[in-house]
Amino acid sequence: MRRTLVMLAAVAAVALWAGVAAAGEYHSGGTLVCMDCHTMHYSQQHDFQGNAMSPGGPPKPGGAWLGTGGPFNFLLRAAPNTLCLACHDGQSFAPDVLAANINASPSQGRQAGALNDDLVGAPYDTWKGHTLDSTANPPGFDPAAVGLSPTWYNAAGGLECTSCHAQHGPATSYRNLGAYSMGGTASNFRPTYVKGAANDPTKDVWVTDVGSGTIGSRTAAEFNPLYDRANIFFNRTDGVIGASSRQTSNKLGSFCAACHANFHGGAGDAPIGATPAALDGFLRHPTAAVTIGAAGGQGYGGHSNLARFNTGNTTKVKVWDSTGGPAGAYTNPSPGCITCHKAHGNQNPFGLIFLARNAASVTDEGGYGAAQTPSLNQGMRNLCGQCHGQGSDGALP
Amino acid sequence: MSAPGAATRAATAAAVAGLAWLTLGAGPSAPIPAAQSPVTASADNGTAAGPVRLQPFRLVYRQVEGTYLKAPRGVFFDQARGEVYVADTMNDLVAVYDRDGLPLFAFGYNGEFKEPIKAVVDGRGRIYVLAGIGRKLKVFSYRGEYLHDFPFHGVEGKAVPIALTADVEGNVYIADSTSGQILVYDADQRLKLQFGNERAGDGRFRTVQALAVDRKGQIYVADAREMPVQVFSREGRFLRGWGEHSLGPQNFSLPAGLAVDADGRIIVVDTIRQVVSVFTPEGAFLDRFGGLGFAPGAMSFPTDVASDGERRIYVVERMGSRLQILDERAIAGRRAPPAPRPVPPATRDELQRSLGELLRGKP
Repeated sequence: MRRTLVMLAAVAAVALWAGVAAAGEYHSGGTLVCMDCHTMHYSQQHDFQGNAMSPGGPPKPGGAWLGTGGPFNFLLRAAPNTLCLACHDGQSFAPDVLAANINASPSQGRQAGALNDDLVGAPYDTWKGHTLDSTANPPGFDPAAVGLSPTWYNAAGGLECTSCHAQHGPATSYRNLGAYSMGGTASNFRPTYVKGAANDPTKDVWVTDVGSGTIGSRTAAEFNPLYDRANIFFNRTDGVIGASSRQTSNKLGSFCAACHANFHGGAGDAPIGATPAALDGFLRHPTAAVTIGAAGGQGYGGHSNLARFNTGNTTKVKVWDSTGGPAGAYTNPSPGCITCHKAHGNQNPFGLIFLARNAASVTDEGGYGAAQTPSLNQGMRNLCGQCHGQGSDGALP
Repeated sequence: MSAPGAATRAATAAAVAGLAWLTLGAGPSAPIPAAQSPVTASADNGTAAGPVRLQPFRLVYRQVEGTYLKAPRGVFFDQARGEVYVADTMNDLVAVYDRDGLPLFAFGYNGEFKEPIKAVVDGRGRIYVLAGIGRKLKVFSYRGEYLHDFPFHGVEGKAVPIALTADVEGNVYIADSTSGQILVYDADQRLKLQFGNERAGDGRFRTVQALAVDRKGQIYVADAREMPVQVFSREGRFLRGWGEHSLGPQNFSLPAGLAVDADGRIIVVDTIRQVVSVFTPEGAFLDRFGGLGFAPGAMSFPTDVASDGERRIYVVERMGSRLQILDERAIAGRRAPPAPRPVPPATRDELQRSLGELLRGKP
């Protein structure tokens, strides 16, 4: 009996530590511990060891001495967004999602975008990116069309960080994408990834240079390779979106479609990631089943220009390709949602990239490169011109 | 003028009785409307031995020259001039108050910086602003006029400043994320000292959150990933440190601000735990106060703390969107508390040792 108990204890101990290791790359036990975010009885905030703390004094029946806002669901110590922003706003050790998206230096660790927040007073215009705590239904929201429960997202509760990110993992999901509330279907909407020098074309995302860093690394220079856009590429893993016949060239498209299934159209229109037949004439910009520079069978080709994409721009938008990039010229690149949009927003309308022409070098915010000049009304042209030629901009395919 | 401690005691008693609290801009014993006084603090009679308590003194709510504090991140007390500098990341402003919380001026209206994290003043009265966006350190005149970017003389490569403070002699201390070191510049912006970045053990930094300097020139470093509080001599030699990322009031979740008070006590603000913790100079835990909330003395994601070198401490809160001024006279007006009993740390090593004993069948 005693040996059995010892064995059980050993197994429990191993399971405990193993559980920590598998809890997700970004919020593993080494970075956060449970009680940073959770309190078992909404009672630990006064002292973590049971002592009363001023100014509340000893607990009172019905008193609000633990804070007036709680208790919160899931044993949280504060509202979910508030907890997330404690580390993800303005800190040097975690991606900052509530800042101007400078995307300038991998040494800064602050290129996660410029989300808005309805509760704290949006620092930016709400139409420039996703807005935390917004109770509006996502544009194009049609979860049933992609095989999700209609109730997986509760708009009335407001947009939360956890609407998009599974805060505890799984470790196989890129950026912890894919909310828990998707239930058993979540894996259909979670892009996978591989890190290191060797690509795995079955994964959706390839992080080529992880440097010496991991989350919580010693310095920003070590930490940031994981977030530097120069190190992140996307494989073209053509498939379908969830439980539907709609196509996607990368599971990041599936992820976006969970909320924006019909973002580019209404009922009866060809939705995001439409079938090739529906692409003819392009009722809305395709995010699947097209190749930049291809023509003929794919509608009118959209006067896209592969040569222009490969050589005409020093800084390229992100596309999906069978090789993931970036060793040489792309061979069959396909665009996706984040080719043009920043999920966390920036200073441009709708989180679009390349629009502002206020800098000599092209960044996600804007600027102009070798192929453009600041004297022209570039704006949107800088973005569209990444893939499309027009007139003297480049030969049509 | 009341004797030290009397005003606080009177205010506390009034608050407990559901009456008034202290007003802004008047004397410390003047009342403010009851609507702003939801204090439920236990009375401090000034005689009982026991945990040290810092009682709320007065509150400064949401005022930066006609607009509001939105997400204040850093606070600094300029002891040479008795002014309080608050860096507000959401307003993109630095607001300057007198020591009583009366607004003096603010700057940054012309977009000189984005998301200021901290503003300090050097020995020549120049204001250093650490901009969160771009991670640049910008230098302004005492009137808030932009002068130049800080040149980081003597540093190889590009410095990425992540924390900032200044001492009473006017030296400026900068935590550099690139090198993982603390850089010390004199008032002529000459590099005097750089230290830290040990590969292991004491003196190792990973994510410096805050810096402070006491009257002896000892340097205090708060780190979110390594030993939370580390103390160095003015020559940069490691002296001591304490805490860990674990349970227990002597430990931390996200130490974000650091200050040293008149008696050398170390005051650490923890953003996630919503508390301010007080330690002896040697690191023995004394007390903590705060707790999540918006009432006076409570805190909502506090991000920094400063001391006026006398009896006041200043706390800014990101979600509380305010600057609180707290008075330590409740400490000074009472007899010395009994010698603190250090709380034994429950380290991971101890837990593993206990588990090992369990597995070996020891009781």
